[in-house]
Amino acid sequence: MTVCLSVREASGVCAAPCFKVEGVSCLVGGRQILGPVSLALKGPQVHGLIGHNGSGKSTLLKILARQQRPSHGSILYDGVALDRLDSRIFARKVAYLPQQTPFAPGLLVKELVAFGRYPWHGALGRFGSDDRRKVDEAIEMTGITAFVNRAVDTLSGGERQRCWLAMLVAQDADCLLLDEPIAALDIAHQIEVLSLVRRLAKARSISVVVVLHDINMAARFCDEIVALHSGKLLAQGGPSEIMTPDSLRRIYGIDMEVFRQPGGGFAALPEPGASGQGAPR
Amino acid sequence: MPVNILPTRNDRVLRVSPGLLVLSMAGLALLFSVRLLTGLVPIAEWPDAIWAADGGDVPSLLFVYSHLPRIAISILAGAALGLAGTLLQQVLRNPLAEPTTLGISTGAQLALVIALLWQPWLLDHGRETVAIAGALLAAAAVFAVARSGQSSPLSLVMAGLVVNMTLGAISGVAVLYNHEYLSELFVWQSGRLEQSGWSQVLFLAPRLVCAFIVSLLLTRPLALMELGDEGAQSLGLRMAGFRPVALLVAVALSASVVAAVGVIAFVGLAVPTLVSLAGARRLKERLLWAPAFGGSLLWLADQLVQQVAIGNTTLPTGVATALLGAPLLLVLLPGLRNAAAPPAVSFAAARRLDRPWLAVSMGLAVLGLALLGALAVGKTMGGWTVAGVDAADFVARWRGARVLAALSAGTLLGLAGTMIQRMTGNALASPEILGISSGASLGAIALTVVLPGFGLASLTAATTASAGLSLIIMLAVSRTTEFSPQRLILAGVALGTIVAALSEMLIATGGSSRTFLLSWMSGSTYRVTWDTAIAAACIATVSLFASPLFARWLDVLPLGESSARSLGMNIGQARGCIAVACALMTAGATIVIGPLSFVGLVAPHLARAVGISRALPHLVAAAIAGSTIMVLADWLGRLLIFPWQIPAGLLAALVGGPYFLVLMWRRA
Repeated sequence: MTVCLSVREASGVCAAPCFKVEGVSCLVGGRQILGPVSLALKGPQVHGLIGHNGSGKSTLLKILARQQRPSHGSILYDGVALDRLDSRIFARKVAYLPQQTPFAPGLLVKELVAFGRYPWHGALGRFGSDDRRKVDEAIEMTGITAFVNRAVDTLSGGERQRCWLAMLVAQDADCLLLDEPIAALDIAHQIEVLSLVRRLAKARSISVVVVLHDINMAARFCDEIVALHSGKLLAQGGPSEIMTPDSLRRIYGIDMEVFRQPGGGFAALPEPGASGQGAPR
Repeated sequence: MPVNILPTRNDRVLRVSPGLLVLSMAGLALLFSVRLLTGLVPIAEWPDAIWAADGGDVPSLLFVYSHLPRIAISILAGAALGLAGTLLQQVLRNPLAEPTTLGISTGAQLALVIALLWQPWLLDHGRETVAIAGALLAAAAVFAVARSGQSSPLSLVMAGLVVNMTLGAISGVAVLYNHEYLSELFVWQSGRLEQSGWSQVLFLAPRLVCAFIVSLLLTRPLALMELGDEGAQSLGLRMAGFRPVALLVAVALSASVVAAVGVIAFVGLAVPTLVSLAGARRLKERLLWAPAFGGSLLWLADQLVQQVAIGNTTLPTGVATALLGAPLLLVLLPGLRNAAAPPAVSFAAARRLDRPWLAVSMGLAVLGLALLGALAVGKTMGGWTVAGVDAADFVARWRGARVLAALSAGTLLGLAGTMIQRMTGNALASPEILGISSGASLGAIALTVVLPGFGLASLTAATTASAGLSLIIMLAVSRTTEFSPQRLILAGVALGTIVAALSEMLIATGGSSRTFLLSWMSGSTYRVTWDTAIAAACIATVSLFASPLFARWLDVLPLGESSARSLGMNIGQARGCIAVACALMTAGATIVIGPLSFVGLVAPHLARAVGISRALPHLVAAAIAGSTIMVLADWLGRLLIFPWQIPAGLLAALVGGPYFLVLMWRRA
């Protein structure tokens, strides 16, 4: 318990890397789909993981989340090798939202959010007042109070996504790994969900690694962007470093124009004449 | 779409192509056939024997009218079953679907039982006609309950399962009290390919060809079904049109096979899986290779059977296919890709109760009434009697142990069924899929062979030991994949098939073990003593109080593997613990009352249908439902055909089956 809490308390002050990835690669059916990749993700920040389709960003995220074992290489979380952590201890530190959230028929929203406390109480522990408080907090923070008593499968895409995020919030982890959390949402809901994520990260000073397809969303909401290409690390840096026509061409293989918004943000659009040749393989 | 077991091409396990597999099996079968045939007629004289058969001697008559048609029918039947199995698994999206899933063989069996026992004139039209009529009627009932082809694959499969159980129970009762008249039925049931002419070949061949052509024409729409209903419909596929057509082809084809040669287990179930394990990935390839593989497998099995004589008879071919194919499946399983199983989408909760515990306590009240009735109300030669308090001794002596055993077994099966269904996310899963009941039965079967005059103590010892052994095998086979549901299911099915084949063989060969096996298989409480009943009650009580320990796991596991893992659950540990707990509960129930499929399957669904969705109330409600069914079945079994009795297991299926069908019908 003390070990887990110390991470959060410490992460606010020291800039220890929350994830340290060394020479990680992943082979599927003899084909190398990732790596070797080495990088460090420093906490508490929002890291955007971008890249073309098949660049290995989801695979990398799954490996970070221990959903998949890397074929080679090692990963340290807060200085500890990933596979040496007990699964519940790990889940108290790192929470993961899969790209496709399960259907969960007949499950109520409040029950789903309460599942987030599993790493803390385990299979047999009491669901105590602390758990109850964390669940209520998560529900309030994600703004899903209105439908806590509805079944998850009756909600719209945006509402459902917020419920799953609430579960992750209730999990009270130091690091959230989100796999394309806004893929199926309209632009208003995209902004809403990502603002929520960013607010969370800042309020609780936790780190977030989020796989994103939309480069503009990544530039707007992430402190740091990690770009993968064909399974290799291509670039890592702040939005101002990534949002240049040159690096965007290298990432997506298409000519892009970058605008500066009056507020200081970036926006990139494909050049009028650019023809997408698809992602380079 | 409960489990997806198709490996991708890159991950294929056998380093052989399906062609090589088929060729080697067919080559081996050809070798055996030639050896057998040359023993009858030398090769040089084959053309003469064929052309001049009618005027020839006995060997050439045997050659042309017995051996050659036998080879032909084995290939045809195997091919037909392989094709039908592939079609059904594709359409129903379930690797557990097989030609018998839609009630075909139980329908045919019941029709034959009725014809043999009560309406012999029906057999004037030929055994095939009766069997086909029964099979089609049963399939029609399945379609009717599931509201035709527009309904989901899951409801079709469920309806098939329950129709199967109900019809099987009806013929089970008939068989139990008339088995001396039904020897022909047992032979048919265990699948024998002896031929006396070409009529069955001519019966089956055109049907197979037609079905094959239709399924090739349907390849594209069928392949689209892999996208699921929504995906296929959005591509313009009319599911309501194609699904019934494909199912009808499969049903008609399997019915023809069942009518021609009887029940041949396993080919329809395993061949589609084996073919895709061997690398036939696309539907078109599978449609081509499954019949080829099925044909050569059955041909080889049939030839092997003829090489070995057991006593003065040979092994039924259906038994040999199971004995050949089930180990093959077990051996191939470790190579099965450990795909993350899709989450449990199989339970469509119709509604949800706000206060599940209210429903649970109402169920408890019903159970209390049933217990009271079972203990107090009975029948004597003079008519109905109600035992009062003064008759406590009598009740305790004659009814107490049975009722307690039924209560405990029902509780255990309800709990185990709920756990296994929630863990695997497959609504078809019941405690038997862990192979424990099969293992226990195997012990009982072995005992009847080794020690014909056995006592209760040795029966308990044998069943316990073999149940434990099968648990160890099951865990060993699936341990490397963190006990993934599809691995457990397939391994359990393979084990179950071997046991079913062996017991059918023993029943078919008759003898003193037949009566015992028939009553053991039908789940009776006759042999229960106070000792065993109390032992079962202890196990049930412990299990009931231990079930809250599993509730959180069972709540989270249906969310899918990745969610469960990211919540910090040790998947392998959780599944392993649940599997062991289920196995112990099933073993406890099986040892007391024999293998029972119905209660463990249906009790969890009943609890669901009432609207209970959280794991803990689900477990408790299923335990109550299971024990209520068992107590009622035991009680009614004592009363209905007094002074005779019906085994509780059979009656549970007999009464519970139709009730469940009505429930499905109303919900559809």
